[in-house]
Amino acid sequence: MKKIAAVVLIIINAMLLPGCWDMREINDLGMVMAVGIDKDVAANLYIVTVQIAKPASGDGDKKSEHIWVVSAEGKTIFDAVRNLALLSSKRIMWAHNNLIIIGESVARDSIIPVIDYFTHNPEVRMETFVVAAKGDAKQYLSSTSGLEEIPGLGFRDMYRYEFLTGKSVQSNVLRVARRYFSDDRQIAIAAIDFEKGVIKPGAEHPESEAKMIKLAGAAVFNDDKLVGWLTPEQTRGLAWLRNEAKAAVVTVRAPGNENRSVSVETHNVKAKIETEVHEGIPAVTIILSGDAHIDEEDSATNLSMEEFKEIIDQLVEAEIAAEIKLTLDKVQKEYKSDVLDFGRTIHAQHKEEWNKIRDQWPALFPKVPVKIVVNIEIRSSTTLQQPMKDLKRGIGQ
Amino acid sequence: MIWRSGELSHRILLYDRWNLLVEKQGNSAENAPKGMDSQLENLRSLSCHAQEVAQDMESIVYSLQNSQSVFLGIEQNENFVKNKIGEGFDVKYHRFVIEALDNRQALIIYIEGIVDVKAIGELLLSPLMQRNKMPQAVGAAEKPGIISMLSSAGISIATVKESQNWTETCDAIMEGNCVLFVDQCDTALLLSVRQQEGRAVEEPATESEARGPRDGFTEKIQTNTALIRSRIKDHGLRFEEFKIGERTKTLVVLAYIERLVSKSILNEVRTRLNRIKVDGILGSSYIEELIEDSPYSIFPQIDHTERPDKASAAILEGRIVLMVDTTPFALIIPTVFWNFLQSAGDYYERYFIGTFLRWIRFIALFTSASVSSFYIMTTSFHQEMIPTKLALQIAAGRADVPFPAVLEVLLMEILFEIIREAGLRLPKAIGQSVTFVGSIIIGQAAVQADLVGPALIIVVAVAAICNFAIPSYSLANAVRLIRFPLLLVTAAFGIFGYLVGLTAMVLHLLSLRSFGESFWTPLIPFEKSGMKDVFMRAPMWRMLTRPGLSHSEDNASRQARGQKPEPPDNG
Repeated sequence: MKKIAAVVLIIINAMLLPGCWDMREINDLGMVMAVGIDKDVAANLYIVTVQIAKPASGDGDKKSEHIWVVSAEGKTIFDAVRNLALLSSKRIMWAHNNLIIIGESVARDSIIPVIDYFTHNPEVRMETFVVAAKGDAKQYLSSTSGLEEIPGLGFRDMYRYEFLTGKSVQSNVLRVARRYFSDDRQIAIAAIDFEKGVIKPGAEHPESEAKMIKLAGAAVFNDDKLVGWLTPEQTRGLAWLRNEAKAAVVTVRAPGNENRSVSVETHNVKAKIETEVHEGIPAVTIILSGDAHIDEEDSATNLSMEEFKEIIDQLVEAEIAAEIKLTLDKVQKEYKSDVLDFGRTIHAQHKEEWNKIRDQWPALFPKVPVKIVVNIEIRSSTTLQQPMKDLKRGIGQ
Repeated sequence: MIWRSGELSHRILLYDRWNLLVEKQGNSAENAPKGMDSQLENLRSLSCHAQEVAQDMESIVYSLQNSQSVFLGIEQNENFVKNKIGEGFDVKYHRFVIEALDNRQALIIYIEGIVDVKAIGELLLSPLMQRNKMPQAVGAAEKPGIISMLSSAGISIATVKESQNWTETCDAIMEGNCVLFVDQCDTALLLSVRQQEGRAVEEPATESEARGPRDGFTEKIQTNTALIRSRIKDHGLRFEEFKIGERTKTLVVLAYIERLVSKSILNEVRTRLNRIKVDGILGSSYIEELIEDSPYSIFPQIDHTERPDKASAAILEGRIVLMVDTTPFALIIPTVFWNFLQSAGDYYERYFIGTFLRWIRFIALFTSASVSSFYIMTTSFHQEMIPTKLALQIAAGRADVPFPAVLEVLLMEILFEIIREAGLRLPKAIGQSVTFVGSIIIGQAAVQADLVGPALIIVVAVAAICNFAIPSYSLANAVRLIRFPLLLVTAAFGIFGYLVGLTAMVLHLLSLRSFGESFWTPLIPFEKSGMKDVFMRAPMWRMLTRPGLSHSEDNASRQARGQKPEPPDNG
């Protein structure tokens, strides 16, 4: 009997004494949907801006704001985040954060504090997307997204379908941190910008109020500092090499008609980088192979399907090679940042030679000769054999 | 006596006081009190003795009465029975004269309502009272042989027993026999004319199945044994009888097939039944509580059924079915955990759906036990586990709720249990309106009044519905209870408490035994042939052996191999 009483007492005490120790109700949390980090370089202060979701119950509340945006300053990011608590009635929780926006000021200064804070915070998921903003990160957080009530969530979904164009790069906390910690590759982060001229119905000056975030190419870093931007077109060259352009659309001039175009959609494109090192001088060959389907053709030709495919095939290969060349010129010659993973490939393929050239690699990289081989096979056409216009003409007769 | 001795000791006390006073005053009155003192002392010891003697005498008389045999004289016999079982309005004493035996006096005693009065009149009284119906041999019989002569030639009732023992005779009257005494004979004749009004065989209320027999056990054990007899015609089918309960003398029957049953388990059941010494057995649950292995466990260890087909299936598997008179629920021994999640319907539907439903029940069992704790764990401790949009919706629903989530859950769970209990015993018409008020009005209104979040109503409702999906009512009840400790431990420690709670529950279940056998057979200890009826319901042509633990070892094979139906070979 005494034994049972003792056990019951222990259980009751064990349950009551900790007092629901780390319990926090879900409605007492301010769930961060997106965070932006800027730096006041002159005052050496970090400005952290968070977009917090305001849970609103369904009906009747449609007009109220769904987000609350607030900023705080601090000497470090952590300091600034703690200062947010001075302004927030709810406890700030990072676990549902979708997006980290690095302001241009921070990117130009150094992104080390950002990587440091967000990899050490246990609440932050390693697959949180990281983007670099043109201008201040702060302004992007209060802008709206077209389809979603919470812009942070909307942006996450936008990012998820990025592979449809291949005009951006995949960057999340884990990828950025891993790239930062290796000496044979550099960081490229997706860039965001404002899209102008989107009409917002109901607003007084629809055109002027329209402000929407769009993915706008990539930001190229050298070590921890931003060295330059890539346009969406230039970014696709990067995406080809990183196997991130999964269903990219390539448009070429129609054969026989300068004003018309043909679009093909690529599939299963695989980039293979082959490297060789001759007496300390590396050379790189990029071999790109894959399939494509003709999706849209706009002009009438006299050619048979086979001939047509042949010509389109050559044009598409040339177009992709040109895109890659464009990116190479920018990244290799101008920014001199190895975001293309050449160094890493050499490291993997020729380990001993790499150890010899490792130290001179930043200097060697801009001079590496690159050969581009593109091998795309047009499998079939998803359109009718003849363009719509011809078809209509034929029926009309 | 007790009252008197109490008074006596009181007086002695008073006297002692008075004595003290006297001693203080002087020695003048010394002689007289001293004599009284010793006398009183004697009286006290005498009264104590008298009490003991009276008790002894009572017990001697009782044992004498019980061992006494039936008297010769009919008056004596009548008085004895009247003294023993009383003269209740339903106890009938009927004196008459047997003409064939020189107008000898006779007496029948029976209890109205549990005997067939018509049978007494037609088959007993009429042949005895009419000379011409009585064979000549009876009249000519010698005195000691009269009774046996009557039983063999005079009375046309099939089940007849002679007895000289009073205990047996009185028990027989209580059980619905008619007892015949004949003057100058020291033997009573026990005539079985038992007839008791009972419920007709109806569809079982708690275990109805879509496709399967519609009959169910009733309160009358003879009906129940007949229902099993009609299904199993094996010569080895045995109904072993026990009388349990000092005062109710309830008939308890063990049903099994002799060549299939495991002898060790059968002996264990017998031992445990013989151990029972209680006043009364009013239901099979009394027996269940008195013979189960772990009485402190919240989980049931013996399955019960109202279905004769389920009971028969258990007997065919080599298990023992324990039936109790006056209750329609039979116990199945031994039971393993999986039995609680099997239902008779599994075997009446095709095996695909049987298997599917079994998995649905596993899910329902787990969900019912833990969904409310899981809700607490995720919303109060580990919000990162919830998908973002769901988290925002739950937060929006809870935005104005003033209570912590645990209190909210406890409130609703208890409220639900109250509604369930309230609706249970009410007349059907009112019961429905209680359910309506409970579910719609309270649920809806509580959400609208921001007392609870809408997500929580779903959680509580899911837990309740899942509870109803557990086929065994007793397991469902255990799960109903286990939710609360799990909830509290989760509320105190988060995911740690949740997992420890679940683990403790599983460990406890693993530690259980059913009549000495592991409760989790055939999974633990693993036995491949038994697995065909645990996570799946194998097709009939694959059920070649009986489940492992229950049957006797030399009779494992249930049916011949190669019975899988195939189209005729035309090739």
